[in-house]
Amino acid sequence: MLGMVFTELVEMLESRFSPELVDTVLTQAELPHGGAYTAVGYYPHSEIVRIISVLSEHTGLSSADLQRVFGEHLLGRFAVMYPELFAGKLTLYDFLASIDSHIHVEVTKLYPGAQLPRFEVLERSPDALRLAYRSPRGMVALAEGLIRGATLHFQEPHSISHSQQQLGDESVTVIDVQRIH
Amino acid sequence: MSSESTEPGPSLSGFKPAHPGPPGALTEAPADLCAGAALALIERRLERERAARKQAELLLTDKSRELYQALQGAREAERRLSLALWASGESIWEWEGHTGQIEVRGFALSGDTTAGATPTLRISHMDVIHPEDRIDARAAWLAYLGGERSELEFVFRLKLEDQWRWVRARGRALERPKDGRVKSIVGTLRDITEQRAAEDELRLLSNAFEGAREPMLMFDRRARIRDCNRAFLDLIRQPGLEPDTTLFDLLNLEPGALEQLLDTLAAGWRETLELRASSGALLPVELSISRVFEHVDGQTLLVASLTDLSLQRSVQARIQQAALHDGLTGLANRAHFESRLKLAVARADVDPLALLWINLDGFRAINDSLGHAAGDAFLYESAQRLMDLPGERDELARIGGDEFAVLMHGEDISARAANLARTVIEAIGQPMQMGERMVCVTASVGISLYPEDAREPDLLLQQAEAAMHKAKQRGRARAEFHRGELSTEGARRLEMITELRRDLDLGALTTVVQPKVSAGGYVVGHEILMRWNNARLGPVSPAAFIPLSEEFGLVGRLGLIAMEHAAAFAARLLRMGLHTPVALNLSPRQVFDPDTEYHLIETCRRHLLPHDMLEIELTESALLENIEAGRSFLRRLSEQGFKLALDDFGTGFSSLAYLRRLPFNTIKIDRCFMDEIDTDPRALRLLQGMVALCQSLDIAVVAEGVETDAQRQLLVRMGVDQMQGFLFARPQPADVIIQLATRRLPLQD
Repeated sequence: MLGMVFTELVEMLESRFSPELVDTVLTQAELPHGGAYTAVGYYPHSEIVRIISVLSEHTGLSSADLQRVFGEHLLGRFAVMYPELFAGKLTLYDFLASIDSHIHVEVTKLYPGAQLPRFEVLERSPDALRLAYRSPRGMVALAEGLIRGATLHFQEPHSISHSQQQLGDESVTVIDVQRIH
Repeated sequence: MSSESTEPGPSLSGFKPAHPGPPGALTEAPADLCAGAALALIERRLERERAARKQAELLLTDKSRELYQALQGAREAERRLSLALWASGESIWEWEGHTGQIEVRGFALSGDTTAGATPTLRISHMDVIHPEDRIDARAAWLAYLGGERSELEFVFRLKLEDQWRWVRARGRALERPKDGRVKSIVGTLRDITEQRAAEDELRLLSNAFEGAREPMLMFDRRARIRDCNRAFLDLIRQPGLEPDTTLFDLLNLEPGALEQLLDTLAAGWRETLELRASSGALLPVELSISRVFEHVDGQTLLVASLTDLSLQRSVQARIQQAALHDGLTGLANRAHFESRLKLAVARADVDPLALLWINLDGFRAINDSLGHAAGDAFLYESAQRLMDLPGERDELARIGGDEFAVLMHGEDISARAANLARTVIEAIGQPMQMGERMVCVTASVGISLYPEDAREPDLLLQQAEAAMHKAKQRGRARAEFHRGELSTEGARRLEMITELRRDLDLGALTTVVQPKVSAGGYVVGHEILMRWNNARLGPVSPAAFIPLSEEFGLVGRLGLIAMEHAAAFAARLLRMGLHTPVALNLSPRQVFDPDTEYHLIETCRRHLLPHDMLEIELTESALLENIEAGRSFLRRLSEQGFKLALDDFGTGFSSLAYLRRLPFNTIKIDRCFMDEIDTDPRALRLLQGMVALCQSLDIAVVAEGVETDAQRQLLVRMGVDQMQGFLFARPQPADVIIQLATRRLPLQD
């Protein structure tokens, strides 16, 4: 996983909770390098799972909720750090529909080793978008948080839910994005 | 299936951490304890930061190394690519749509052998493309941009270092967006100047090779013949060469010597060798290597030209004499003639001499109307005619443009000179075929005599020339002595032809008409006959002036008069409601004159005459010269509707083959067969046989020269269709004969 995700998580936790909590979590998570992350490195996915798990214990918040919060925060950071990824995307749906075809293509140029989830548009109407989420990491809540961050960025309120559905032979996580009027 | 709503989203605002240390605990804890814990925390954070920095530095170092290696790899790849391009003679170019510029990298002229230098060339103006190639280059470019062509390829001349180089450009768009607007094209450029030059040269060489008059061969260093031209085949008298023919087969040379020779042959090499002709004969030739070049298959080819020395030896002999001879006719030139004349005068203690100055009348007109080549051909032909006329000791020369001279030696020089002058005038006066035209020129001859007229060579020449001018003034086609004497017979003929020419010019020749009658005595046709009554000579018999006019090329003009008068007379008959043909005689010359057919048709057109109102009478002798040409002439006339009659049948060769092969409607049996048919049974049977023959071939018969009623009765009994002769009517002027056209002949008193 991209080091940038870890450094962003640490920064978010330090600002929203406290440096002490972060220190405790990183210490208790017993990470191989003591929780030292650099944005340009790559780290195993299992590390973020352990960090969130320890964090969940300390905060009483579910792992999923923490992922959603972090996803929302991460998207805001993306918008600041990589505005070119948002350039030309006028609506939420345009943005979400272009993740695979455009945004992740650009991300790969910056981070050639990045393993990125795929978002396939299954249905699109003026008020709803249905996406298939595929990722070996199964962090659908993080994905939902990212999408929520996008609804805030584009100022288009939507409800977001997900379900497991069968598409042919494949069991797929489907994310429904529904406009709130 | 699980479903989980995240609306409203989780918030950290109401969060109470399970951890005892709330936010701000760092400052609110007991001071000593807090200070120690805070310090430990800061140290751990610092440690993490340090570790993260080191990771980042390590990563950066690794990345830098990777980048460096990637860059090295890219440079190496580029170097290899440019080396490969250099080796293939290609350069890379790139066009950017937004700049409109073409950038060519690594462009080297095809002769450049260094791979290191890779200058960059920028093309932004059409000026660097040759004006003649701009339209094509632009069309190819636009066709590619417009998607009409999938490949971009064109050849043009590019200005490089102030010289035009032929280049071939190939290219392809990096991508072709859906809107069709190509943003950039990359491609290769190849300098093909030398390739094109080689191709052009080969093409030129090939043309020159095949078209060359001199025998030429192309072979390689293994002695294999690659090609040879027509002249070479002619030289060795073979229709073609076997595919595997080698020089070993063609040259009479030891194989070892030839092999050695082949290794060393270079352009400019030249040697006398012997060539084997198809007959096995050995021809001396000079073989010279005119070119050595690399063929596309990598073999060295040698082009050799050969000179037939056997021919050259005789040519050389001729060249030696060229200074003394006229190049066109091969006759002695004026300088040579004058020196011979001087020599003759110097030796002429015993022998009298005669000098003939011959001028071709009307030669200039030929030169002007038919061109100099025709003029030259005419002069050559005239020289040929003159060549055999003088005696063995006499000397003929061409002393000017259309002037010839003869120097005669010996006894009776005056009479012989006059005689020669006459034959010269006759020979030159013969019509000459120039392409499709029949040309007539006459000769005027002036004669001076040594020693009577002068003893100085120059003076003799002047006198002969002056006499020639006198002959011209007196009407041309005649000879004049310096002293004004000419032999009687030659003089008479010359006078006659001079008068005939004049009278033709004056339109003084006339015609008479003789009717042809049927067995019942009705007029069924007429014949036009030429008559000439000259003011000085009196009436001249056609038997005299017709052959003379043929000799002097005037018979064509007589023919035109006959045509005109025949047509006019036929038109009168038609106006009287009489559809009876009028016959006219054509001479052998007219049979072979392509204009005759035209004149006949044109004459009929002018007189609004159907062609079958004219009948063409030809003698057998007219056809003797060339039966095939005569046959096609007669066939064309017959197809045009003219009637055809064979005149004077039985007097010439009387080839029965004519009767079968030529499209005659009528046979005219000569008057001599009428003689004594009423007294001599053999004569009668001969005539009967001829008539029966014609009847069996379904050819109408006209009996000529019928003079007595006894003859007429016999002929009628034989079944002869038509008769002509004094018995019915003498040839008389048209105005007289027209009166008889509706009468029965002979007229009963």
